[in-house]
Amino acid sequence: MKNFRFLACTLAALAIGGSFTACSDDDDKEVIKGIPQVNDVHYDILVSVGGGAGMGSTASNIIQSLNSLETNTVVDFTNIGADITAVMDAEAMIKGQYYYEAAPLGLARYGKYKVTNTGVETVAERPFGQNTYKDRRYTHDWLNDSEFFVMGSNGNSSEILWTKLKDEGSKLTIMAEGELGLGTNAAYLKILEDNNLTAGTFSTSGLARYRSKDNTIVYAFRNTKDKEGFYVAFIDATTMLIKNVVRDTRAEQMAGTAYGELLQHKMFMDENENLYISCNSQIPGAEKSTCQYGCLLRINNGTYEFDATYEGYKDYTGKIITSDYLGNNKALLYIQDPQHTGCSTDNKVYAGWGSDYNGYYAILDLTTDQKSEIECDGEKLPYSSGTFSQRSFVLNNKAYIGVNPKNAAPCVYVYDIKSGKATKGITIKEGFTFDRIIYISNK
Amino acid sequence: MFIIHSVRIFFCLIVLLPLAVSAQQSVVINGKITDTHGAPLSQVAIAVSATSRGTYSDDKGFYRLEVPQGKHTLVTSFIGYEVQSKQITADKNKTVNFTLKETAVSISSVSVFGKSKVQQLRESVYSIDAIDIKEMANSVTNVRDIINHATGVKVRNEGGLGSDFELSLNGMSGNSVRYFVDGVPMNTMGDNVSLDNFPVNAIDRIEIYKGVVPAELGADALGGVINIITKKENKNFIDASVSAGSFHTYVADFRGQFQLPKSGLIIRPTLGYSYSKNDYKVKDVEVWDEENDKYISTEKKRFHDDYRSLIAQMEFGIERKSWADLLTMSVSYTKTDKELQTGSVQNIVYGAAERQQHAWNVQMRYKKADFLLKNLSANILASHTWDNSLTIDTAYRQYTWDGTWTPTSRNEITGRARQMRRYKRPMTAVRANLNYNLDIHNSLNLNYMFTRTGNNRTDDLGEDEEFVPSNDVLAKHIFGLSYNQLLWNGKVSNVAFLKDYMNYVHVEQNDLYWITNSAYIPETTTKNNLGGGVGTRISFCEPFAVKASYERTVRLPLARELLGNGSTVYPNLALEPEKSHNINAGIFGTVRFNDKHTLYYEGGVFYRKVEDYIHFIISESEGTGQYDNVSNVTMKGVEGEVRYNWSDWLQASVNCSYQDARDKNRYKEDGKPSVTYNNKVPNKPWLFGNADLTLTKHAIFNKEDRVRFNYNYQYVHWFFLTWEGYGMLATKARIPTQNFHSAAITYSWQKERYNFTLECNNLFDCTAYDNYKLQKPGRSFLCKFRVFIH
Repeated sequence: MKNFRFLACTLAALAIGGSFTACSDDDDKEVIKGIPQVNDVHYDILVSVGGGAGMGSTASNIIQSLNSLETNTVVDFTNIGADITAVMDAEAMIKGQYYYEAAPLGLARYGKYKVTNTGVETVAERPFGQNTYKDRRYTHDWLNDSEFFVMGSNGNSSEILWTKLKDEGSKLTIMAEGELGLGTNAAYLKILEDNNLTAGTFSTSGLARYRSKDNTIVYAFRNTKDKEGFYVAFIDATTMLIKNVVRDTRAEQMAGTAYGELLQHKMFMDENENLYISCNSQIPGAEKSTCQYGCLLRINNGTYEFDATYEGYKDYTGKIITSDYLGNNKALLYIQDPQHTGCSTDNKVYAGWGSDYNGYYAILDLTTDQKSEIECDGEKLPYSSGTFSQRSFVLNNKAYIGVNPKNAAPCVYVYDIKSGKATKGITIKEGFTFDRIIYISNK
Repeated sequence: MFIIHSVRIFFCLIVLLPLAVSAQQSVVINGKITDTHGAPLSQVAIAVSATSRGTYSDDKGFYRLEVPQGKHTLVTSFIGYEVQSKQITADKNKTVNFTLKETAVSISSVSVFGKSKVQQLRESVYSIDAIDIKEMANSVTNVRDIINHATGVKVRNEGGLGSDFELSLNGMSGNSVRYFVDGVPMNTMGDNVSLDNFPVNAIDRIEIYKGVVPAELGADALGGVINIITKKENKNFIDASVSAGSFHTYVADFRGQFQLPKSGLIIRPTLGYSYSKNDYKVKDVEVWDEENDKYISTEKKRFHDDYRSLIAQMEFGIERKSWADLLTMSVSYTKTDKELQTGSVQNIVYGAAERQQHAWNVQMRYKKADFLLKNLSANILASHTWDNSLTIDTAYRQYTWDGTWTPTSRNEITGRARQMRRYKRPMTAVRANLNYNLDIHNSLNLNYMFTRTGNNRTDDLGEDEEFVPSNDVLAKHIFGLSYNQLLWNGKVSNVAFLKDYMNYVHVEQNDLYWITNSAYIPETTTKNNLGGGVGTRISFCEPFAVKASYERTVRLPLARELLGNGSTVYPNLALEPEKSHNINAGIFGTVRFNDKHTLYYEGGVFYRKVEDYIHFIISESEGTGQYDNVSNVTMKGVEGEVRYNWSDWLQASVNCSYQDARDKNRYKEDGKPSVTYNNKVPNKPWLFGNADLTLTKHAIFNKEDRVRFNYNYQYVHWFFLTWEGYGMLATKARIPTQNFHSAAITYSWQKERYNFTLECNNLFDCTAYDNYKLQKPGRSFLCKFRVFIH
């Protein structure tokens, strides 16, 4: 009864508060905590031409910059945009105005690039130091506005390498580099011993995220000999010493193991720096390992272990492909689910996965675990094809959501987070493979 | 559908036409050609003067010619022998024998209008270019470069001697072109034998079949066939040469033939050795400049590109027996060691990785005319090859173009663990060819070719946990049945053929399944495909003839395409056979102004409609790649060549090819329209040509010497690296226009017994690229000394 009274009061207070704030001009300007707020930006659209998209694709990659994604225009790449194919990979670390890459096109260097509609400018380069990385197979994050790190496995994947770099405008410098010592870490070895596991090879890239409040890098990785769970190492970002290693078996693996987050967003932090990791597991009895179901696991800020009390996207079908934080304890997920999208009647069967129109966007309430699909003009956003793509981002209280529908040209929907309304934005001329949208600072 | 219907009608017509020709008035002249000692002379040209009619004597010196009734003059020509002519009245079948005298006068100083074998091939039903290597043997050190001068051919090297290359015929490139030696797949000698290291001295001529390939070759070649015909003189000879050139290049070739006429025993040793450091300079490579803290473009020498090749073969057997015209056994050993300098793009530098290959081969050939039946001839071959390859990639080093390196934690090629990847590819080949002459106008040919290639992969180190040893098998059966027909005194020639292609694949490997597709195909598959074609040639008169040919062809994937090469080529086990409709049509003719001036021309159009086209997809970001079905592509083009001879002292030729390859995939993988539909396929040369001038002067210091000067120019028009039309054109990557000039001068003395050549390639030191912007050598010099004793 007490609970009921409390709930009723809360709802009443929210309703009253809502009625006042709804008429306020300040409401639109009020920032949603935990999502990027950058004013002077343009938007880059990456498409591929003449081949399939995604990691390892050999198609030509074209980037075109637009001032807005919200106009009702058709974007064509004929004779416009930068063909980046011969200069850099499509998968990159993006910050401010620039694209950054380790081992661009397989070259033994780091590179910083500026992409405009007329071409690609190489702004700075730096040869590899003692650590070398495979093109597109590393993870990264930014330590501050000018410093970032990359991490990835060595040749036989027996150890994880790390390198910290500093961006000094026209100069990239290596600040420090080394090995994590993960293969010989006592905490890791103890987990193996306790669980009667052997040490296999590590993930090619794994997933890393910097937690500023306690200066810790949270690094998720796999041991190939462990088919039941995955691991997270907590690393002091200054010393790069491992503070702790934990294992979780609620999912077989995190959503990205080989390519970091160079193209796709696999993890997100809320405004309190609680880290949510998208995870997937093979469906029991599935025809192929591709047939998976997802979940979200959480590592709370300041802690060095998984939050055992939280498991998001529970009891839903479908594999989580990308995830973004929408603020207000909600997440935008791109889910591949043949059953849900009508491409198959059974997700255990391989048919229906692959390049079918089996992907959809949903908003997940991280508190209630309620999932809802986004609608535009009273209809759900169309189901979409494409597994290796990142067609969404969140900026300035809006989510930009790109789709590749079966019966229409690819387009972008703009979802106003506060109003919950989506409107249709730009359309991409049919024939191009729509791979990515991203915002780029103008300054 | 229209094409198929037309083909059926055409096929029926040429099968029925023999009934209509039996009433024609022609007679057969046959005879034997011997030297003054009574020894038979083979390969002697016998021509009917002032006509295009002619033939060659066979291994026993016999010839057979069909001529219209009336008076004719028969003329013989054979290097080192006097020309003879005989007037005959062809009122009935008759025998005309020739006895030729040796002479000091070279045949080239005498006007003989009999067609050479090379010319006969060019004027056949098929679209064929033929290159007489015998004429060039003094100066040629590398067959690959010579073929690159032929019409419609483009060879794209990745570097210097021994580098990987891709040959395209009428726009069909790479492995859709098959290589044969005397009608047998070249890789029976070992996968490491190529146009680069095949001994030049062993070659008589090279036949280039474009698009439509005779069933007798037993080839599943979509783009065409390069068939090397080895030298077979009718008497003992020794042909030896050594050459040395820029970039520490050394080549030595030896070919001999020793016959014991009484016993019929014949021995043919062949030896070829090539070595090059390939330490040529490459331009515009990037090295780090510490002072300025940036990469600078500079010129650096290649430092890890040594290539060494050995080919040794001993062929022995008997000939001219009642039970066998020829029965030979050969044993060959080939070995190639090759350092790897770059990946598929130039700024990926290797400094320690290398590939070693060696192969043993035993081969048996049997030939017999009137085999079991009169007019039935048999040509049978059985061969087994033990082919081994080892790719060594064990250095954890990161090299730069200045040759320095820093230690790393991954290997050079794949960026993974240390590898010593060993491939054993045993190959068994059997070929049986039966030819039955129905009469002098009509013949049937049945050909069967079987090849079985194993692919046993192991790794000596076992450090790469992703690698799983495997033992795969690829077997092919190709049946061919063809019908050949001559009408109207040889003015019309027709051919029709059917082919059946079967392949069997057994695959065990399942590592890297997301790249190799091993998880998506059954362990064992057998596929059957039918093909066939027709062709015709009509000679209205010597200056004007037309020809056309068509083939519905199938190409089964090669072991390398399906199973990779262990280093830079990933397997693709889901690869489908390529299929194509190939059409050629052309005109040709010879115009003789008088005894001294001859103009030969030929022009043609071609069309290829390829389904499931197999193309090497380079992954720039890894320095590796993979063959894939690029689905549907059409190619059409125009090509032409004009050759002019002024007596025997000047020969000039010009050829030009225009090729237009278009993507015909209407839909992308997601089922939606593809924007590149009907676009020009990128990264392919589409306009190129050659000009060649040869001057010969006899009797410089004495009657038995001569000087020969050759100049060659090659042009390749620029082309885009990626799909044109998308993105800002001005800033898209492109392969620039290339101009190559080369010159050679040869001095021969004692009737060409001794020959010395000086050659300069890439005279103006132009920057030369292949498709992926990997630089080829700059200016280079080479000298060659050849002794030919016969």
